[in-house]
Amino acid sequence: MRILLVEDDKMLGKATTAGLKTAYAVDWCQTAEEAADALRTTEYDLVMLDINLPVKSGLDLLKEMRGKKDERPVLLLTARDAVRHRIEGLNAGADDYLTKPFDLDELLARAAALIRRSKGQTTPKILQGDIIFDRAAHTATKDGKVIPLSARELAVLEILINNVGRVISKTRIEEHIYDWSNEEIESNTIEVHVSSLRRKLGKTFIKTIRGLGYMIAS
Amino acid sequence: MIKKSYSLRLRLMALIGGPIVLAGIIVGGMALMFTYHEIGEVYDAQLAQAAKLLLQLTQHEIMDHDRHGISLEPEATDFSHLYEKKLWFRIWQKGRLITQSHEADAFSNTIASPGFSKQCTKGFHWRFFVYVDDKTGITVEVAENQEVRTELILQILGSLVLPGIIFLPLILLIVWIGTTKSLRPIESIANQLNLRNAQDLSPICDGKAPREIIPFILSLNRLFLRVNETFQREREFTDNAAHELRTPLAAMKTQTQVLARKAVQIPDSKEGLDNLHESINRASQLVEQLLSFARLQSHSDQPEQVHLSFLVEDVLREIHPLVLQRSQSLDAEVEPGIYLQGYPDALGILLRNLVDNAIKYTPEGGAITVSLSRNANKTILTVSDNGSGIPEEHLDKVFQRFYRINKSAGTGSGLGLSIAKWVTDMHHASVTMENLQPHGLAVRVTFE
Repeated sequence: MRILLVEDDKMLGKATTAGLKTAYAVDWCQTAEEAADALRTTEYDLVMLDINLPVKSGLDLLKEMRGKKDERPVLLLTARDAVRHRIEGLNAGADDYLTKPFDLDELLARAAALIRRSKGQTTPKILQGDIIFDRAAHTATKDGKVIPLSARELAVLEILINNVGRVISKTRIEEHIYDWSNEEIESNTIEVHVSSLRRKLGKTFIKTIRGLGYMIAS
Repeated sequence: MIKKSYSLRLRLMALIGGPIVLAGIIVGGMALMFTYHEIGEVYDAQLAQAAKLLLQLTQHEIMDHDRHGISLEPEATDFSHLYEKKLWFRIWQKGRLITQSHEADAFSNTIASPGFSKQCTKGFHWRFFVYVDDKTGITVEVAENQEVRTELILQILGSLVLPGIIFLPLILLIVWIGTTKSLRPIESIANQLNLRNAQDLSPICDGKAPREIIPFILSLNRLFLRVNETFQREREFTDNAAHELRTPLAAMKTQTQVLARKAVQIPDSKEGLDNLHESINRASQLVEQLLSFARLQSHSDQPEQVHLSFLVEDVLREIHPLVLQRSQSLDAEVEPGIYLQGYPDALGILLRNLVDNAIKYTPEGGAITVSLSRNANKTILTVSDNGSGIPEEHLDKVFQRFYRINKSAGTGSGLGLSIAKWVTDMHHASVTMENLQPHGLAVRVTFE
């Protein structure tokens, strides 16, 4: 697994590289221009992109990538006070963001989740707790036994398991189900599926964060 | 410090009204004096003339009828003048009364001394003139009631004083209105300044200011400019310093964590690195808050339409991992579709600060609730927790910069709530805090 880190600050770049190197191969460049060259020549599994870069911003680089149909996952590194950047970044096609200063464990977890999500097709089996989720086969297995799940339940499980540790809003889950089944979604659809998933996978497997959405704790 | 104040208006009125009254008194007094004198002269001359005229008219007749005496016909009253009756006469020859005007009976038989004199008869003052013709031995005595003179003098005096009495209050009223109108630009400047918020250091503009007040306005504007520049420099310094500190701190944090991972096998080093990590976290937080504060103070963006419901949920999802770290629960009750005019970054900072505080001051396992609702044109954002709350005596002070309830506890910079206050002020919102029963704290932001 190879990660491209784009961070203009020397100290932070060095430290982050050191942190990431415990799990991944890392290339680090300090400008968007260098990064563009690296992206052309090398296969990366994940790009970590600082937004504030000299000359060309990280957002510009991201827009360029998405413009060229380069769908490699991008994790944005943003300043905490720049809500606008964050939203702009997600709209521009970023897969996730992390605010600086970040926690190394959090960074590694996000990186792992993003890579896993993008490799979904080739490595379909995801292990979370005692559940094995097989995306290709559309099955969830507990203690070696396949748990019967409907297509919509699988869709809900998939988006939550791809974002372990993060709160996913009802709206995002609805959009995801819609991608899967194209059927009308009623107002309590998500609640119904979540409770049925809980019955099948265990009461505490999916957590409700009231008002914000659902999550599977890491 | 204003030690002694006085009213410009009253002072102007005294300065203008005083001399007018004084001048009126002097002019009136002098006019009275001269009039008295001149009227006396004119009337005396008339009296003398009348005496001589009487002598001319009567002397031949007297000489011709020396033996028989003469009598005058009663006067025709139709053509008499009001003042006429006040002019009486008597004509004598060698001590014998020849003739007299009708009313002159009142006088006794004494003859006044020749020339002008004053006599008093029957409560009236009379001015006498006695003319003695040495050739014929005829004495003409003319008397005039002094009242005639006094009346005339009083009338002249009245014509002088009456306009003064009418015009003085009118002049003072005009001065009052005039000063009030002239002072209006000063009042308008004072009002402009009163209506400002503390951050507004823009120049005062008053297109219609009188020339005398312009230097005052210019001086104020120059002062504003200097103060503004000073503030600007201070903010830029804070902004730069915080920004420069932010990245190295982030690097230290990551580096410390890398080291801590490598030092898992060495418990002493691990513990030291964990402490170091905690210190770096606190420094980072302080730097972030200083930066937020500096940026908020120097913001120059225009407010925009903010989807507050979305923003609140977004910030809460971002913060959620911190809640999990402390095994706390975070509930959101966000009414969908709430928009307001404002600054999204600042609103994000506000909510983050309030929730950070709730996380920090609520024990592990505690519950935090964030709600956003709208009713009757008011948007209310509430962050409540079930921690220990804040002692009542500190409730008012916690919004002050660097105010900390327990300085030795060591958590928090004391900036978080003053930042929150700043953001709410920016949005003309109010922020209140109250302790909950049985325990806990609710911070409520109300956007009008």
